[in-house]
Amino acid sequence: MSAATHHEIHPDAEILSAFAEQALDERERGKVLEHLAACGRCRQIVALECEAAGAQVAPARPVVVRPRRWWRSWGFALAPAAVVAATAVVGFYVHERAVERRSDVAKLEQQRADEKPPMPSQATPQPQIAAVPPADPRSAPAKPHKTGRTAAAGRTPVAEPDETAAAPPPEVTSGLHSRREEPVEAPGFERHRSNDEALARTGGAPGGTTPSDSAVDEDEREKHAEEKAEERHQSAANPPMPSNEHSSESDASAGGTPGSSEHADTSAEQLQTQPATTAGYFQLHRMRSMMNVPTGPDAFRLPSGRAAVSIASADHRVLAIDEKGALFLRENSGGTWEKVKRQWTGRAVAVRRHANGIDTAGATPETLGEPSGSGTVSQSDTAFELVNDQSQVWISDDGRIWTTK
Amino acid sequence: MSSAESVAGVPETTSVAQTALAAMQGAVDRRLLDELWRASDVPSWGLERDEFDRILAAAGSAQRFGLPAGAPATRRQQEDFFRGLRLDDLVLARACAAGNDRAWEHFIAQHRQPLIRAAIAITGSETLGRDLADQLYAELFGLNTRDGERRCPLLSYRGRGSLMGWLRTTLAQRHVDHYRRSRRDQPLEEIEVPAVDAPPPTPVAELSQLECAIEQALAGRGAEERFLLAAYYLDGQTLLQIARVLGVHEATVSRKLKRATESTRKQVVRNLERVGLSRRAAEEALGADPRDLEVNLKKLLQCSQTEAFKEQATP
Repeated sequence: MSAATHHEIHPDAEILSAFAEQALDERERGKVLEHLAACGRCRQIVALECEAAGAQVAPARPVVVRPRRWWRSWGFALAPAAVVAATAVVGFYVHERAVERRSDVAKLEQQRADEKPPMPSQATPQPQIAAVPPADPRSAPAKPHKTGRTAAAGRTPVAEPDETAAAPPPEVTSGLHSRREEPVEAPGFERHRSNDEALARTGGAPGGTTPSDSAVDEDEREKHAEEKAEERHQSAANPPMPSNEHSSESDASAGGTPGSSEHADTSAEQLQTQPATTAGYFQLHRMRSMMNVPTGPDAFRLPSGRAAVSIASADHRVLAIDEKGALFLRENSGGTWEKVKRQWTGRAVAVRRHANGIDTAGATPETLGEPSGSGTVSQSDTAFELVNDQSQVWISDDGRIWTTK
Repeated sequence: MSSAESVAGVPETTSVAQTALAAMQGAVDRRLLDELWRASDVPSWGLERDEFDRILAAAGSAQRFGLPAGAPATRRQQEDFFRGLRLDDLVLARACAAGNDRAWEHFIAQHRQPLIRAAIAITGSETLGRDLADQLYAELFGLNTRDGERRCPLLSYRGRGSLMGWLRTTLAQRHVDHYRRSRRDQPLEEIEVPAVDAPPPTPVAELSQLECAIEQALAGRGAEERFLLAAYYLDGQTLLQIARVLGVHEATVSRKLKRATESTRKQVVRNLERVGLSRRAAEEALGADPRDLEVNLKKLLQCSQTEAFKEQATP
């Protein structure tokens, strides 16, 4: 067969296009390749076809929109997503810090509890109960049960807002948090609660010690308490911030064990050492506003230069205890503070209003603002109570002269 | 187009299709047709189901489902046959050939502009390209008649490759055939070959031995190697062009080409040694001036033993 005759036989366009598109099987492809090796015309056709196929793709290139970057395709959804993510990160960080802080506080509290042996003198108050006049409504045994949160809530009614224990004892702060989320604060809260109950049961100062009886040990105790306070101030990461969460915390406790001296002592210490949280600060601020107590940073600073840890007000009198246990009195709103002479033993840790036999120390800021139809208290019946670091109580009508309860 | 270079293949007319349809009536599995109809894109441009069935039956009968003549096709064989085709393109081409207006609208929307771009790319000129595309488009529309019957090249499309590929190849065929015809009328350019120092003349006996050795070496090459040698050395195609044709990477073509050249050279030397030349003499013989050789490489490469498409020339 001559070459000329071979040139006459060409695969059709169908086969050639299928060959160029790699759509033929091996057998057919071999046949076409055999022909292409011998046929310049078909080689040219296939080459042109492939070139045209490539050229058809080329003009489309400028038209083809390049895929956007994956992160650009998010568009405006990226900004809110970033905000949400940032908020979540900050929230998580704050939460972790709070948890860490509370755990540190709990550890510190535990260490203190371990360091301090129980005081047996406070565990035997029973003989003193008989010495207390039962007629005194403020020392009635049933009273502690009424100091619960619900009782105080139903009673806080006073037309003129006045109250108590706004000071932000540290566990208070943590107590508020514990009520919301953290069980870590529970021990602190129980101590407060048991402290109140022990106080109510004894109906007076545990151990029956009066200011005169304990005059000998007063200096030593005060020095001891001051040394401890100094240590706590140094060890505490945050400065003590006034907060009223202590009251709300103690109110929130439904049941507590009768307080021991250890509990009372621990709670008294925590009043100074536990850091106040921002929430506690605002809660205190709110309560102060409701009580017409001056608010603001300066309002928590007493003439001693220390922050107030407990505040109570009634009859236009405001009593405040600073971190050292010094008591200050201010008789007119906006007036000056004057220091009250020390008439109690130990270190004063809390002051509260005691109206008509009703202890409002456990009132929360919320309950303070609630009106009550039945619990109206006359101003003449109002008195103040002062609690020292041994859970002993003194009372006063004017805030200047204090007698043991 | 000369009859000698006409596109091989069996033209299918409408009457043939109708005959095939009658012969294959009921031969195509009905459920298979349903499946193909559902999988097809054809309903989107408005072809009727009956026409779809007729087109598939005609295509299957014309190609005998890819089986030897006389062998009945099972459902599986029919399915394999249709699955191997560009069914949408095939139905569109047949519908256009049958004069379906919706099919033509779809064809114009899909292929008109690509056809023009392909023609421009093939001719290298926008004017020539548009002329070429318009000419083919007129043919596709069936303006040409033979024996009073409308002829449409789309009937020769059988769905083996894409319809657009078929159109491009058809354009290239038209262009190459036109070029080869018109080139004969063009005067030959005077080529001035620069004078070079002539190498020492090779003895005539060695030249004849060299011619024989080269012929034998090229004859023993495979189809792909001969295609590579022809496309690169005779057609002057680039490695990229060859790579596009073969569907491989440019580097692969280069590697294969180098291997083919070296093996061919070694084979020539061996052939020379076989006829009695020493290896040194054979190496020296390869340095002979090609102009002294009577070897027509083009003739050698293209006078291969191919019988591939001989049967297509038979009516």
